[in-house]
Amino acid sequence: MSDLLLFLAAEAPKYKWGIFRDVKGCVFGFLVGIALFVLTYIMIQRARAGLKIPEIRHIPGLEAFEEAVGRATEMGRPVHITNYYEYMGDYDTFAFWSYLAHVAKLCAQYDTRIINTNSDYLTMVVNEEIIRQAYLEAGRPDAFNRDDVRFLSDWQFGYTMGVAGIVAREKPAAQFLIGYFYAEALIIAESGNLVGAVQVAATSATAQMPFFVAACDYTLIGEEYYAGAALLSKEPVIYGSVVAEDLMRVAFYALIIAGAILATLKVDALRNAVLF
Amino acid sequence: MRREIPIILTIVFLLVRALFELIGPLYDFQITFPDGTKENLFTTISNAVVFMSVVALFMGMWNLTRNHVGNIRRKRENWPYSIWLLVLLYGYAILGIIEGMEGKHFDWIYNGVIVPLDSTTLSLLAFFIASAAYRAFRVRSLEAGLMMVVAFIIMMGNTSLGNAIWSQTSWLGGFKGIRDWLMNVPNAAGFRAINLGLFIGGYVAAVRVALGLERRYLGQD
Repeated sequence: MSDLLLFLAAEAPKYKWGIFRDVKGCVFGFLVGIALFVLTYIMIQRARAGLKIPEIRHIPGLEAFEEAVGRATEMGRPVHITNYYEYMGDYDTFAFWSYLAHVAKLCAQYDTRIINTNSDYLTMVVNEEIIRQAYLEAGRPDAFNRDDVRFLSDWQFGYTMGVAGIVAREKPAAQFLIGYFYAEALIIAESGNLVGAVQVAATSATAQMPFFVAACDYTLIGEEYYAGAALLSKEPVIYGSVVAEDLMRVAFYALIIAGAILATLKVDALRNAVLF
Repeated sequence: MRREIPIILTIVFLLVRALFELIGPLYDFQITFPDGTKENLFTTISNAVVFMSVVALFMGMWNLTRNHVGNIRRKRENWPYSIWLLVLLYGYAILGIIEGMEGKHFDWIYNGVIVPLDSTTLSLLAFFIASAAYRAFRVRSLEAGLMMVVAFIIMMGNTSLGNAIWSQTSWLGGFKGIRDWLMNVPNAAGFRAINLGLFIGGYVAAVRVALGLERRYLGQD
């Protein structure tokens, strides 16, 4: 502790406001973060108290989940879900788990086989637990097959060809590609297309969005990926967080318009504040 | 407690990470090891996470082994490939342990087998892009038609043929000039809007986890 105090005393001048890191936008980022946190908390509390919260937009791709699993059930073929390489600490992974829980629950209810392929061994363990729990809640724990939660490789194209092989052999009737993808996105999506699977993609990887739009039946793009994860829960409290997200986006657009006007008038105050 | 402890740990570590990223003295704080060497505390914690991931590698190996030994035992379809996979998995690992990362044979297998296989897989993308583009660009609606026209201009702008047909020194900068405008103005605007949404969406997703509202990673819907 004394080390830290000495360090603080000696090094204080180089920090913004004496405490924040000397990185562009650090203080502004902190303030925006706090504002977002408070807004989300308020909306969640309103939803919890049963007070009126603004309407949430409709995301058409979300309905496709039930439709795709239903189709797999009718055809007697499995469902495949993957998120490629997302490690445990990534918030994309937390969003993926919401989708996984939903799909696993549907599969357990309809008694449809679910295959989950992984490129990260830690995420795989959590995935296995989520799917097991879904089967347990549906009252058929015996239907859960541990061998269907598979680790393939943490090597990008090793994993890609592993998935392509599984898709070609098992011929899933529905394929869900959810998470952050790289060059493997299109190879996996086209493999699914070759076996006639209904494909739903949801990604936060902007570079892969065009590929998914071209190759998949439904695609959730951008922040729909996170909003969809929340909406699947059907809990009003989580809906509150999506409302906060929408409000914050409107605030950001207002800030951008104000910034553009001020920059045109050669007033740098807002720009400097954002970069502080 | 099975549910509460992971939630508490998640919240605590999320806050610790955020504080380290924001607070200068914490980010720069160095610890001294018994041998006198100094290291940034943030780096030490990050290294610990890497170490934990490496330990977890065995879970991945165990899963692969269990699945493929099951294939061999039950003589499932294509079971000989499972033998091949296990031989390669453990053989290459053992070779790496014996020879080290710079070993001659270890390196040869990497450069002579893994790298070409990687390139082959990546090259598949060219064919898949063509087949996906064919489906996407069939002109069925106004939007698809517009996409087709834009794709055509971008393609022509990227090829020497496009420049030969409509030179970049002529009116509007030729295909290349229009391509540059399309990429730098409407395309960049669209992508920035998506990225802004992604940032807010990601942040709110993290807040949901921080507030303990997101519990589905615990297997609880």
